[in-house]
Amino acid sequence: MSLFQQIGYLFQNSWQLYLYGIVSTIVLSIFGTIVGLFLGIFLALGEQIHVHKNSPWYTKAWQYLIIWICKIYSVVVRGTPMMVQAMIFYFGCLAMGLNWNDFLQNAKIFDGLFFAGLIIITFNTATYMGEIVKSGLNGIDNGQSEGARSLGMSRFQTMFSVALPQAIKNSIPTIGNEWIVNIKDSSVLNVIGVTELYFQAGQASNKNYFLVATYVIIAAIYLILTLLTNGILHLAKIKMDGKKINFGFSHFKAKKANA
Amino acid sequence: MKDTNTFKPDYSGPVISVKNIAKTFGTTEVLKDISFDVKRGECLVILGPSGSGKSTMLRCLNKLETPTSGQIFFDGVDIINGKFNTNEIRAKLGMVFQSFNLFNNKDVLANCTLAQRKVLHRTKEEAEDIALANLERVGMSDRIHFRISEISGGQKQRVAIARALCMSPQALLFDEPTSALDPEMVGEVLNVMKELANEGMTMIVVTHEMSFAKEAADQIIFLDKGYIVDQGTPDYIFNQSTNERLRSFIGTDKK
Repeated sequence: MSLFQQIGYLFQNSWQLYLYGIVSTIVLSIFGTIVGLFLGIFLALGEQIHVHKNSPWYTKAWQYLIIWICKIYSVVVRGTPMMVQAMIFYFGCLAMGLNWNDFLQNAKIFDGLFFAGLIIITFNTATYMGEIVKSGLNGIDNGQSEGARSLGMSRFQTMFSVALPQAIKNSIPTIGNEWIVNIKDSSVLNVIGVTELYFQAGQASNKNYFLVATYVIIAAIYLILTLLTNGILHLAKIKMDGKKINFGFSHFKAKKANA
Repeated sequence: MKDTNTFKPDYSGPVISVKNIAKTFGTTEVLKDISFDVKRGECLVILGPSGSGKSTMLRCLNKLETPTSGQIFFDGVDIINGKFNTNEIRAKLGMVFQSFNLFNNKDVLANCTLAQRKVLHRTKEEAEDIALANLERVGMSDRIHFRISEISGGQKQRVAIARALCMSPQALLFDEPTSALDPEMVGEVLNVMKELANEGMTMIVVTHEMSFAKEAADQIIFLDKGYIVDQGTPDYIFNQSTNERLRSFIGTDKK
């Protein structure tokens, strides 16, 4: 069979596997990015806790504790591959008597391993999001905070009403990029058997050994997913700049109106 | 000490009273032995060359900087050494900055209502009514839903003044409010400030606008190298003072 025939054959016989894989990958990447962003905000804020020099020693002690936990967590997770983290998490849980494989065994996509994968990708993404939020906050002019503080707003109010919304808005391109990275990087979760796209491709090819065709298909699917994501981010950017989204139809509408 | 924890609205002494404050950054002495009083309804203008410590002094007043030594009394209460919620003091001392410092993520109206709601816990309608009244006062009521990036520098500064006024402050601090503006915009901002001064708002203004100092000030302080070199009424400062540094700064020594 030629490559194209093989691709056709795979689509005909294994389309379900691919479909499950696509759904799984999309859910992993979106959940990981959004929840990771929230955790990342806490991580960034945790690292930047303001320790007041007049606070009592026990307040200072727990503040420094939080700062250092956040810092060490961020450095360790960003400094090790997600594939290795996945293995340590899965087998660590197993050693402690928690087998993720036992949950929801009959589920087609959202089985126990999938939820293990969600946890791993979320806690991994959180560290990168933490860095993004931190650099976003650094990019906000100090005057913004000063303006808020001069009106009597607390450090907390200033952060959540003035600095953070601006930092996140400015970071949206980078956050979106992290989403695209997650679509691709979720593939490493196959090592613990999460049924995402890459894992499903292996399942599809193990009966017929159309290996090139199999991986060409998922390469194309990954490409389509990332291009779609790019498109969504582009629209989001236009929307945030306060312009109207133009899909290219306005030309037709104008013609109609003239006629 | 208990009675110092509340402000006294019927207090009739100076609104702000600064006693012997000094401020050092590392080994650099920025302010040395500064003392002055500002009475209610008075407009104090602080003049001086760049780097003389004017802005630092103003920032000490609402605790954006903490003086190294000395006392600052606000409504008769020591705000440096007393046990105070700093935010409570800042809410009563409006500040207008050289770089406006309006919230870029909010529109004009929201800039004026945010702190009212968060700090003074006013309801949305109440905050908006007060914001509209103050925006009207500075002539910006037709731009309430504009974004900050869509209005000019002079308009930004007028919104910043309205934002400070919304907090019903006891006094307003202006930190070179017109230094980032072109001459036409300077005029519109100064007009608003003159009106405020005439209406009896207590103001402390750091500026390089001599015309404003002449017209609106009740009292002028001239700072140089962290010291108060000379102080007095506008007439004294501009016409009678014999201080050489002051005369060379305001340009009256050539005549």
